[in-house]
Amino acid sequence: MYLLIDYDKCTGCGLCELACSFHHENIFAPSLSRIVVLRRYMQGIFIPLNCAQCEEPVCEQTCPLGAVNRNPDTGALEVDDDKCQGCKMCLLVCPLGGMGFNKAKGTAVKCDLCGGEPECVNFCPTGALEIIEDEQTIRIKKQKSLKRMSEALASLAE
Amino acid sequence: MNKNMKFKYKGYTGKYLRVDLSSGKIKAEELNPEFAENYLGGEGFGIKILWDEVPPSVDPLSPENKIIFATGPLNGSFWPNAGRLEAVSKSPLTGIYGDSNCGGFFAPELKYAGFDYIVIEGKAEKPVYLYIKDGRAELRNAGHLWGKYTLETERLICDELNDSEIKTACIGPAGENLVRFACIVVTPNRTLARCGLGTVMGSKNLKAVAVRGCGGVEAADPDGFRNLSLEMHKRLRNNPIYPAVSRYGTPGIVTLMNTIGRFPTRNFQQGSFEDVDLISAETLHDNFFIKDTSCFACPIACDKIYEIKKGKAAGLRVSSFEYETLNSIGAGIGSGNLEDIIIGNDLCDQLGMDSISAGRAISFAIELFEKGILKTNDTGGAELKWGDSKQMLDLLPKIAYRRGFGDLLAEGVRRAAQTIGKGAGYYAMHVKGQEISAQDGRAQQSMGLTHATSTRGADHLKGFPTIDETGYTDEAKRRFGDKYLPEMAQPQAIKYKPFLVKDGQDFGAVVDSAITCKSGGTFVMAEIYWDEMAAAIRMISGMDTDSDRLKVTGERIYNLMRCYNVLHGISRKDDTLPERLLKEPSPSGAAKGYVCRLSEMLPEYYDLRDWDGKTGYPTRRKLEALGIKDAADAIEEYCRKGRKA
Repeated sequence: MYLLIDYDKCTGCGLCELACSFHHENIFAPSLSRIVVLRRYMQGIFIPLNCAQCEEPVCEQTCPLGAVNRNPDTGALEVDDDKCQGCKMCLLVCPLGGMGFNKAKGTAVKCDLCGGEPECVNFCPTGALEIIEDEQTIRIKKQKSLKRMSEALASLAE
Repeated sequence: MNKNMKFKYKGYTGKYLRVDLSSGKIKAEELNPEFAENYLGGEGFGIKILWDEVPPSVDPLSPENKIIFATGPLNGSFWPNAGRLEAVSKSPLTGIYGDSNCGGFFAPELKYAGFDYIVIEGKAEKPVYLYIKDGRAELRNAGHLWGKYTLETERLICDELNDSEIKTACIGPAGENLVRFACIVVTPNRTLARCGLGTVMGSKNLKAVAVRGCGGVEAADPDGFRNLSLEMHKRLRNNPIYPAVSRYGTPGIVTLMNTIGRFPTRNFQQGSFEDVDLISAETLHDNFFIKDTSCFACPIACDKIYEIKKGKAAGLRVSSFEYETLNSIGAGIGSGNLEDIIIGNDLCDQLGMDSISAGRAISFAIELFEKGILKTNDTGGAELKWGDSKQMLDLLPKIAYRRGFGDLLAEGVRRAAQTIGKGAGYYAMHVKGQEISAQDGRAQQSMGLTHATSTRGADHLKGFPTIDETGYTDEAKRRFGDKYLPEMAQPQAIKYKPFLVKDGQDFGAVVDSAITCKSGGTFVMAEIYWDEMAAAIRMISGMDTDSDRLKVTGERIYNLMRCYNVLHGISRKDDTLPERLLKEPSPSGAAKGYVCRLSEMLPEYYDLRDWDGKTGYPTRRKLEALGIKDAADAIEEYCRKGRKA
């Protein structure tokens, strides 16, 4: 499974961050959210950044304690709180910034897809976040490109 | 007291900041649980602090005035639109209670930083800004920021503190120059627009408040709160008018308001504008739209980024571009030049001025010129005329910097009319000193009553009657049942309207204290009402409340604002509208031939409020029932002194 993010639909409301921190940490705190919205307001750019559940995850490979493992049911990479000692190697190596850190607990935190029913998707009002099977990703992206291209062609024709 | 002791209720941080700019002293203090129970947050906190600490003798521009930035129990959570911020102070524009409310991201950030509200008093010797981060606060030099535009101020503060996530509330040149309707601009480009609260900051040499927090907000009943919040989000998303509100934002009502004749044109000479198509939501969207953007936790995203794509101003972007501004510096001055309205909106934001009051001051001046009351030797040589958008763009900076003729307009229309004399007062479209926003009470009777009885002078939002704008029968039925139909949903019917307005004002006081958005399902779309609000507050805070108790809280807050105004000289005679709206029948649109029948609605309104019908003062009986006996005593004392004098 995979969290597909559509930047065009994101309005920067941050509901995903609130849903995430409340679900996982029982507190409304964007600083503790696994998903993080980057905002460049006047440019109209809003990018929810999240773990991509990589095929060859450097976090898993780098962790000296074997605390990062893939959940076979959901495909999500999960941090084992009991094993993690907070060395932050995974934060350093993740190229996407998909790994977070809970200062109070002293452990790395990341998106676990909420066991397959992500709370961020429930609260996202615009459909910018979607949970999909991996093989759907490319098809959805292609459909979006098709839509853009046909719009461009139509405007050229005018 | 144990420093780490948790506050009795969730949903609050349990702490507030008191900042004395004169001495530079900053203290973090404990919130009193009873204060939260009785006044909830936001507007409730603000009026209670003003009532206790800023007596009638205090001049709004003196160091003794205070400004309060307040949040409420829902802020920071995922309740729909839980990002609103309330600022409260004595208004330099009206001289009475003043407040303003905006969206954005500041309020949640303040709670994440560990504070429910900030009280700022005194006056700094030199320009400063207040920086709050995770439980700590300091005053920093703002000498290099003084004179800067608002967006640049925000950027410079973020750069200086090396943190792009900082949220600011700052003033522009208009606030520094004590323009009486200066606003406060809040991240990202939202405005605490009305009542001249930016002027209060300017008078205190306070350029900005900057805040950053990494903490959070808890809920007393996490599962209950989560499920109710999600249900509300779904109800909003499924509301029949959600797609329109979401697509066009507030500009979406321009055409509709024009059709019903509620769209003030040329200083309220008309209620509809012949060139309305030039400034309609569709024209705006088709030519300037770039992106939908949201306030914190908002499912609607009524805010848009617009960009001028061609010509000299190509590349200029604005946001938070609203219905009100399309009216005040568009139809209000008889102009349909949308590009210039966008440029003017940007000027108002950057200079830090309320675009409603600024636009009304300009249309007031144009009408005086038309009537021959003002002449070129008064205006610095300018021949003021309707529809001249370039003149408007010329006047806005003159007002903000108090240059030439702009200096007079910077005082607001009431003061300007007093200075000018010669019958200018008739054309000053204000209530209690505040310029009237884009709602003509001749087209919607309840709107006239709302403006006349608002606690902050002319204002549509305190009572915000939405369901009878154009006849939202379903909403009227959902909220009040069948028994008030059909009149409740008819704009020209006065039956039941005092009840609609009173209920809206009390509910609005709770919404402004909780704090959520009046466009976000509480009034517009009308999905969230007393029951939902009471459940949300109960679940997040653990406070023992229900609809009935919350109604008392709303009434208490509204009555205390009224009492505060009574001590500042307000009485029934001030609960009125400009004569134009009471005597000149509306000349066009669906409202053609109508005046606002205010005097027929007021007696019933006072009865419902249990206020004295002759004076408009709240009765002792009412105030004691609301648990504010001290307010009854104060009014009695005020009457006794008045009689002696």
